[in-house]
Amino acid sequence: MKKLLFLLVLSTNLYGTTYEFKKSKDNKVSFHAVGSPGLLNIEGEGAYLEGMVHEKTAVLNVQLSNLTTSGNLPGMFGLRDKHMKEKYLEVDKYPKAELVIKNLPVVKEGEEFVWNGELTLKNNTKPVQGKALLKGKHLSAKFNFKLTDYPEIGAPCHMGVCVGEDISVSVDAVAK
Amino acid sequence: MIKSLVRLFPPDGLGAIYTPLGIFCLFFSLFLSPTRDIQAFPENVRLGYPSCSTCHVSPTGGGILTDYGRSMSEEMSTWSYEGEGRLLHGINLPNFINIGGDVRWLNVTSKSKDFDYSKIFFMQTETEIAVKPIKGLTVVATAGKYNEGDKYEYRRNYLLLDLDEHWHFRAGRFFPDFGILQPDHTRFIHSGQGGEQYVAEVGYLNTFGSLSLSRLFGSSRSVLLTDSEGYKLDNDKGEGYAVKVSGNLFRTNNLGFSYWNYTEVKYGPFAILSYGPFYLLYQYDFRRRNLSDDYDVSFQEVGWEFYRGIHLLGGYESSGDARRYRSTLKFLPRPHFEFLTYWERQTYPDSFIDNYVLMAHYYL
Repeated sequence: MKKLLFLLVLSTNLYGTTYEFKKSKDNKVSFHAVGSPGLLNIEGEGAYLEGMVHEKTAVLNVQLSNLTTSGNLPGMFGLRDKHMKEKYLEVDKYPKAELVIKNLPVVKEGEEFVWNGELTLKNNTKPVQGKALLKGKHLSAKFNFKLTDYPEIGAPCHMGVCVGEDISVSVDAVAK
Repeated sequence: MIKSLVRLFPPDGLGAIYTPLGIFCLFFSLFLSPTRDIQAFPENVRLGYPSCSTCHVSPTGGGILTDYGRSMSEEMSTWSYEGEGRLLHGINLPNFINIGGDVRWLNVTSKSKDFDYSKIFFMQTETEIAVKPIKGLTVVATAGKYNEGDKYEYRRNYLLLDLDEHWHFRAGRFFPDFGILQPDHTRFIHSGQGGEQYVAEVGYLNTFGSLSLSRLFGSSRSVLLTDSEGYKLDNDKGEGYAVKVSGNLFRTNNLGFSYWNYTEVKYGPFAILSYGPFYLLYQYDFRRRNLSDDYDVSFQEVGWEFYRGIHLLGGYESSGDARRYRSTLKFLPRPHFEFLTYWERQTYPDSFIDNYVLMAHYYL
């Protein structure tokens, strides 16, 4: 009986719980893109997840000015970062990327779920789909989008090397 | 002396080189002939570059830079301004043509209990041109003087066909793809390959790794081809082949395996591993000779870019009974400039040599 109760507690869904994400070193948003020719890996990180998940709705955003592609090599790829922020994302005019999920499924602790939301970049909103996992207050999520869905960004190229259209985004965050 | 030379280059391919003169001759031959001019930075795998073709016209690295490679040289240098990496520090060429070139100056001092040798010389003075007459096709040619030679040589000349972003075909004269194409031609792992060869190469690249298949047709250069222990190799074999496969691990590491059946048979794994500013290059080759015992060659070097453009390296190599320990300081102050200095001790069962090298490199 005790075991059954324990399992029931474990399987309780998280509906009604509020998760708030604030700027913190525990909240990491990163992206990966591939450049050609040479299929070079471009890793962006340094941005924080901010926003709230409450019941069926999630409104999350990222300050794009915090993104960098230098990884743990400070000072590297300064020009690439400059082009990314100033030429393509124009972070001064469009400082945030926003993800809104209006119909979150019933989420169980420790169980990966699929969500459908809308990603806004440079005032252009497009549907995206991803997967997420909640463990306690720890959220991990992944989704992909296509650069071509956001023609406002343009086609990032430098000296004959262009970023491919597929961008994958990863979130690793802890709610307060 | 004759006895020593006979031992160095035994007529039957057998014998040892462990005489003072033999060691000196081997050392001399390693530095002066044949020169390998690869300039790639294989450790850039750690920066997310699994392939050389982003920065070099040659898919296997080295030689003339792409426009992006020139821009990348600004990122890799301690100081730079935007556009400094371009030809002659600022010239923008049309897309269909690329011009490059290299001057390498070397100061070598070598000491052992039997000799004290020092030499300052221009190892390489070379120009290189790449022309793209139509999309996907590149023609590359070089002309240069090497190791104080008076005559111009035309060492690398090839046609490169980029079929798409994954496949390429290349034919002509260039370095065959084997193991880590590391710039220092004195490394044991490069011994016996004989510089540029006539090659037909097919390469495939995707986000998981790469594959290259090379058919080798010999070299027109008349060089005495010896392996790292001084054994004369079968340079008249005519034809051979090389295979190399590699896979990417966590996007900033590379593991692979190479096979070479030409002047000798050799095969083994290689790895380029990294963590932030630290990196490790590793290669192991098992080598089989027709006329003497099998042996193995290994190379491992740890690097640390402790400040942008400044690298400290420590390396260890072995080839049969020979060992080599090296500590290196590499400095890339500005685009177009590379300075490198190292001390190394090369040991044999009964002797050793200390080498001190200073290399200055300027590229157009």
